[in-house]
Order: sequence, then structure tokens, then C-alpha cells
Amino acid sequence: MDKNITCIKGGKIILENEVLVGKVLIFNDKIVDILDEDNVAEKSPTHELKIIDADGKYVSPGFIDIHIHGSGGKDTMDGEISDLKIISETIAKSGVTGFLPTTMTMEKEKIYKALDSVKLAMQENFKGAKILGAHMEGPFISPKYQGAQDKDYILKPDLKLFEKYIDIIKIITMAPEEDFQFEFIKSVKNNSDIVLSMGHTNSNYETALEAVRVGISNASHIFNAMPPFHHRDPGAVGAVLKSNISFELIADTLHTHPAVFQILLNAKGKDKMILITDAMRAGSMKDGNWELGGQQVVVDNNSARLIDGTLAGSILTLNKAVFNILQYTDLEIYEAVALASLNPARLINMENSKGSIKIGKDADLIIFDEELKVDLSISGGKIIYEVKQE
Amino acid sequence: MRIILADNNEEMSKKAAAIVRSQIVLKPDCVLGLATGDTPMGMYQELIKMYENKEVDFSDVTIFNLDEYCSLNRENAQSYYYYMHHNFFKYINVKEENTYIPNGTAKDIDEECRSYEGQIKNKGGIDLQVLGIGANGHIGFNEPDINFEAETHLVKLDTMTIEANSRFFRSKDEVPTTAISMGIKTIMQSRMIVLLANGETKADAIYKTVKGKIRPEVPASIIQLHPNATIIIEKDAAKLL
Repeated sequence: MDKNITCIKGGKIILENEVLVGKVLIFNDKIVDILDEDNVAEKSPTHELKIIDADGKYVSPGFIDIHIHGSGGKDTMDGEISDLKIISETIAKSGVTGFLPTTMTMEKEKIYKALDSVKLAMQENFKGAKILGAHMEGPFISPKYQGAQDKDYILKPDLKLFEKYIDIIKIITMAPEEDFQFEFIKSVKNNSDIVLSMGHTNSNYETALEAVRVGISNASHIFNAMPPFHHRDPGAVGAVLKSNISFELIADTLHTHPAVFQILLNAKGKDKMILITDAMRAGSMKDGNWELGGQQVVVDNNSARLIDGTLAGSILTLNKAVFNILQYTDLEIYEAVALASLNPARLINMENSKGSIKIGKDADLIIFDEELKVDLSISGGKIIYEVKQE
Repeated sequence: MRIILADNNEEMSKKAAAIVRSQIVLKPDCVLGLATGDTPMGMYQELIKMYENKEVDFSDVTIFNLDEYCSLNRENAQSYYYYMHHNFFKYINVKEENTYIPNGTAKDIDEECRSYEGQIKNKGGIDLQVLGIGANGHIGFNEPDINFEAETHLVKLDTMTIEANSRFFRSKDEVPTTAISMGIKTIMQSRMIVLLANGETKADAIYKTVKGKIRPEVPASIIQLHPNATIIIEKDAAKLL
């Protein structure tokens, strides 16, 4: 047992179903306990204690971003460990303690290189958000809904192409209608723990629902890169609403109208919504011109668009997404936080070790204020970001 | 001195157990000093429940008992060895070799006292000492006297204490008249103290302990000088405060 114990006192501790005050959170690399504030002396006479004062702010489970291409000027497709390191450090500032670097539809050799780097980076101990695996967005997508993905590199679904990466890929975003007789979906289900998420899809309702029955368990950035919901042709959106699968939401108010946040919660319940950023290299960066996977992107006033005006991923941060949910829905803080912590952890089968403040889980913790401004991020008990004191 | 009032015995016991648990969580290899008698019984029951719920782990904890009667052997149901084993140790995962209770049947009592004191020092001293209080203000078997005894020592029991404890024996004649007890210095060197008191019979002693002068006639009053002492008082025992 790691006896190097740290305490966070004076905070509002966000648990799965409540917020605690007057308690002290005790952790080493894991969450050890939650004790009464009165019983943890400021200067203990019996042992050395490292005490962090949350100063009345929230103590929350760290956020998990399962769909993020880049940030801080770097993109997963740049393919270098050093790029992943910068992304990891940058998003730690928004309270992300774990993430899935997300690849895009490009030459498959470039995807291989990116996945090789993700695999190596998983062994590294960055002072940043921990890489939990990879999300492969494409190349098995619909040419009709490629969004900001590059049409030239779209491939027919084939697990053999990525067999080498089965152990690190956590999610594949794919278009089920491109999968002949769902052979790909079935072989992924039979040979791996990879989560299949429908997205960049032109699927009709029936095909999408059948794909869910066969093995699709999530939908990528709902409403985006799929046909809009139509009452006479419900499409993939209809299949998400009808079934019990989870879905990703880009809650930046641009990719999805804020009114839709509550509508989705009403329709699907709060356990199925997963907040993502889908951020690209301009994430956490200032307005200007940037390059996303070989294409020019204009960042202006919280949006990132291709030259033709198509939204090209986002520059949302996950703390802002949670804040937006609090703004536009009736969720309590602990419920909104779960959309970006417990729900994504559950999707990628990591809810036993991550996603909430619970004794025995990894000490992935963040401290933020009412505006969701992050002061401190901790991953596995180690401080990965600390706001600079003025 | 931090004073916590409790509405009843259960609340007193829970608060005390929470303090002990916190100590163990924050320092898993801590050294506890424990007491016997009716008062801490509920605390032991709470700690056993916590252990069963996997909320506390005694595997690295060391325990020293405050005192033990002389002349009673371990199998005697009135010995504190028996009390600790039957009310607490057998339900938790403390290691037998990490539990210490003075041997009241030792041939050389002085030597036993010295060695007990030495064992406490070897373990780095007591982190958290749990105390009860006698109606006469005793702590451990440090009876009211004209001076404070420093270290673990042989005690002649007070008639009031013999009287109080006779309810556990068939007759007053069977109550041991001597005991081994940690001294005031031993207790005061603990890094933290938690004293529990319940019932109206303790109200006078509690009043003198908290509000009275520090004097050997009320041994518990010395706790006023301890830098990290907490007193948890059930409301009947707090009547005179």
C-alpha cells in the first residue's frame, strides 16, 4: 500500500449521487477514504499529511474525453509521441484526466503511425491526462457524411487492417450501412472489447437498429455527420432514440442547439449521454488559421470551420461542456459531471477504476469553481496541472 | 481540549470509532492505546462493524492496553486480556503479536512495568490513546493521589474503584486490589487523546476534568495540558458542564 497520503479538505466533494461538505478526501494513487473534517487535524501530530485546501470549490472526478483529435496546436494524426504529450498536457488544464486520442480518415499508413504512437505513449508517464487507448474515427465511414474527414481515404470495414491495434483501440466510429451483412461488426464483437459507435453514417433507421442489435453500442457526436431526424425517415438518430445505446454529444451550443441537451436527456436518460469535445488542434487556442489533418481550418469566436463553412471538429473544452449542460438543463452538478466522467468510463469498460469518486478507484481528481474553471488536476494521485497563483 | 457532546451512548461510540478509523486510515501502521470497561464497549462494536464493512484495516496497527489487574490470569473473564480478546481482537484482523496488555501475573511486577514502558517506546510511542474515566476521575488505573505517577507502575486500587468494579465479580473480596497501569506521563506522551464519558455517575468527574484545577486528586484533569485531546461526552455525563 502506498502510504504517501494526500488529503483534500474544504471542498464540495462530488460523488455519484450527492455532493458532500465537511469531509476530507484521502488518497494515494487510489482513493483511500472520505473522513470527517473534524477528525483530520490540520497539523497531525502522528503523521505527515499533505493537505490541499479546496477553498470551498468542487472536488470532482476527473473528466474523460473519449473523442478528441487534438489540442494546443497538435493533432493525434501528426503521429508523434511529442504531439500526444502536448495534447495531454493541454487538456489537463480543462480537467481532463483521461482521454482517447482520436484518429481521422487519412491514408491508413498515417493512421498506423498515429496508433503506434498512442501505443508507445500509453507507457509514458506524461504530466498530463492519461491516455486510456485510442478512438479510431473512420476510415470505415460514409462518403456522404464524411464531415471534416477526407473522402479519398474512406475504406470498406475490415478488421484485418487494424488487427495489430486491437488491444489499444477502445472505440471505432463507423457507418454500419457500409458493413456488408454486418460482418465487420460481428467480427469485432467476437474478437475484441472494442466499442463500436455509429457515426459519419447515412444509415436508414432499420439498418441502424439492426446494427445496434448486432453490436453497435454507441453513437458518435449525435446529430452531426448523420442525416437529421425526420419523422417519416428517423435514420440513425431515430435508432439512437429508440434503442438503449449511449451517444456522444458536443455540447458547445454550435454543433448542437442547447435546447437539444434537455430533449436528449428526456428521451434517453442521464446515463446514456457522454460529453465529448471532438476538439482539434485549435482546441484551447486563439482565433486564427490552423490546419486539421491536412485541411485549412478557421478558428473564430468559439467555432472551427473549413473554408467552405463546414464545422470541423470543435474547440470546445470538456469543463465548458459540463458548464453548458448546467446552464441549459435541469441536471444537478453531480449528474452533469457524470456525463463527462462516469458515463464515458462505463462505455469503455473502465468504470471499476475510473469515472467517479469512490473508495478504491484511481485518484483522478479535479478541483473547479462554480464557473467550472479548473484550479487543479490530479491523475493517479499525481498533480498534472495546477493553476498559477497570481 | 476539544469537547464533543453526544446525545446518547451510540452517538458517543460512533464519534469515537470515527476518530479511531481516521487515525488508522491516515496512518495504517499507527499505535493505538486502548481502554476497557463499559464506556468504550460501543466504540469497539462500531469498529467491528467498520471492519466487517471493509472500512478499516487493522493489519498494520499496534495496540497497547492501558492497564490490567494483578493476580487474575488471562482466562479469567474479568481480566482485561479476556475483555480485549473477547470483545474486540477476535472480531478484527489485528495481529496477535501486535497486541500488548500488561501481564498482571508476572512474577516481577516492577520488571513487567519497565518492560511494558520499553515496548511502547520501541514502537515509537502511542499515536492515539483512548481513555475512559472513573467516577473518581481516574484514567487507566491512575487513582486520585497526592502526586502524579509517571510511567507504567503497580497501583493499589482505590476503595471507590473496588466498589465500582465489584459488580463484575461475585463478591467484593474477589476484586483484585492491585493493578498495573500506564502512568500519567505515558498517557500524556500519546500524540492524541480521546476520552469518553457516559452516564450521570461520571458527571462530577467530567466537570472537574474540564472545568476544575489540574491536580492529582482528579487525575484526568491533567488532560487539560495535552495539546491534542478530545473529550466525547454523552449528555448525562455532561450535566454539570
